[in-house]
Amino acid sequence: MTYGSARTTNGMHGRRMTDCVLARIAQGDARAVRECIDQFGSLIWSIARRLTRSRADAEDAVQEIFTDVWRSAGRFDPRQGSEKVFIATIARRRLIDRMRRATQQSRTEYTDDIESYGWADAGDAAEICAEAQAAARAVMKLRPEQRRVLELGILQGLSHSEIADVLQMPLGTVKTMMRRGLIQVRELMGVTPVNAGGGRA
Amino acid sequence: MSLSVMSNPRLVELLVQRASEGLTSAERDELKQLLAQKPYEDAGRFEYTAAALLLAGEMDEDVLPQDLHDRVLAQAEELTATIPTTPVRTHRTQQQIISIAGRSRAGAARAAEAQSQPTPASRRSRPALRGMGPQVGWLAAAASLLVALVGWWPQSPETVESQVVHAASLQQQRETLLARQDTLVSSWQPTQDPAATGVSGDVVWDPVSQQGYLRLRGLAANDVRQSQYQLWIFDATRDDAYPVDGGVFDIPLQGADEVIVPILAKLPVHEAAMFAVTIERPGGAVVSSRERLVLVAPVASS
Repeated sequence: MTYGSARTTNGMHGRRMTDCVLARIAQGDARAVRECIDQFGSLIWSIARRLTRSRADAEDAVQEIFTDVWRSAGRFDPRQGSEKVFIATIARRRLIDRMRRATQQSRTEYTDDIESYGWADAGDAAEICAEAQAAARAVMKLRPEQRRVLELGILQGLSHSEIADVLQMPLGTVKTMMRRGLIQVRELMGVTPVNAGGGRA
Repeated sequence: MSLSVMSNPRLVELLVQRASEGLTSAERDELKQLLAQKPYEDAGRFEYTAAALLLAGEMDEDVLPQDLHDRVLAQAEELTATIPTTPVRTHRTQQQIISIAGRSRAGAARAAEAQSQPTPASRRSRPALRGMGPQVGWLAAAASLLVALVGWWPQSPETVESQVVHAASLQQQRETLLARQDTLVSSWQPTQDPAATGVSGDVVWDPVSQQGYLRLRGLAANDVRQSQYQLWIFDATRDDAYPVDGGVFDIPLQGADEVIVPILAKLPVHEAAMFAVTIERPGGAVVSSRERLVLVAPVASS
């Protein structure tokens, strides 16, 4: 597992505010901006490549995501989670918005172009951050079909209806599995959540 | 009292939808309404869980392409006017500016004496700056300034608002600082910028307390709607490309002979090597134009 920038293992509660690049960005530290790009650029790029259909889309998305990250930097609270998950949350939100817009335009080829991504071993996920490790462990406790729904939805960015098509399941079943799966993983992770703009709809 | 979203099935449904495939406009509006009704403490939990799951997935290594990296750096400049800054204010007050007429002779003499003497011999030498004129020193530091200032967020209006304080108090604070053994003093050297014509004064900086003051005479008043002065502190222990933001300040139109500005370093300065003042847009710059470098005050190396 293999993010190029996975240099640190961020504990969920172990960092001081002054250690956080996001906190320093929010405080106006110019150096932190570059550090942020260096530290998380590969992560954001990898996520964008995963959840977009072309390199050009991914490049546009990365720029949008960084804008979102900088604007949201002041909301990061290291007591509630790692910077990586905070940034991944922001990245996913932006990419989901983009996917939704693209889907409205038309992407009939989508389900024929599904790449196969699975879950990493918990030990490998630990290279990324503690939350990833906890999530990797938690997801392995789900039923296989439930895990598959999460794989397609979270790792590959398929919509619920696309997942239903791929798995030949009723849409309602997919929605239920997704909801129950996320609830279970959340509970199994047993961590305090990052509220990355949770109040923002 | 905060509640869990789990108490509201429809809210859970919408939050899961948001975390997994996004919301329609109608759903977004509905979610906003529901979240506004009660203080839910865990509204972001599903997105957080989904993000952790994404990180738990297998992912190929993919380094951010250099050209994209450069574009991301460049876009920081465009954001300067809109990105909120979280001010860090602990014990010190906001940026203050004050005009002081008629400094005490003792203080002036002490300052002059301090200026003429070598500064403490505890700093690491900086070949790029040592022994060079101020312009050369700045150029050495500014060679990478285009990158250096990227992402230098402007302060929010409340943080840049100047606050006039009692003159005697500020003067006394400066002189107290001058009396300390480790305090550095460096004289301003004006550049060719019109605003710098005839400017004199100095910087005093105490590396122990991380406090300091600019003393300025003859610096042109700025129109706060158009520009502000900004202080940068070059730290020998940091990359020259990333000087520490010393805050923005204004020179009033009807000022007295002398202006004293407290330094408000945004980061710890371990070895101050040079102070510089530029003219930037109101609120400060992300990428300096470099054309409006007004003053430099190199700190003599031991």
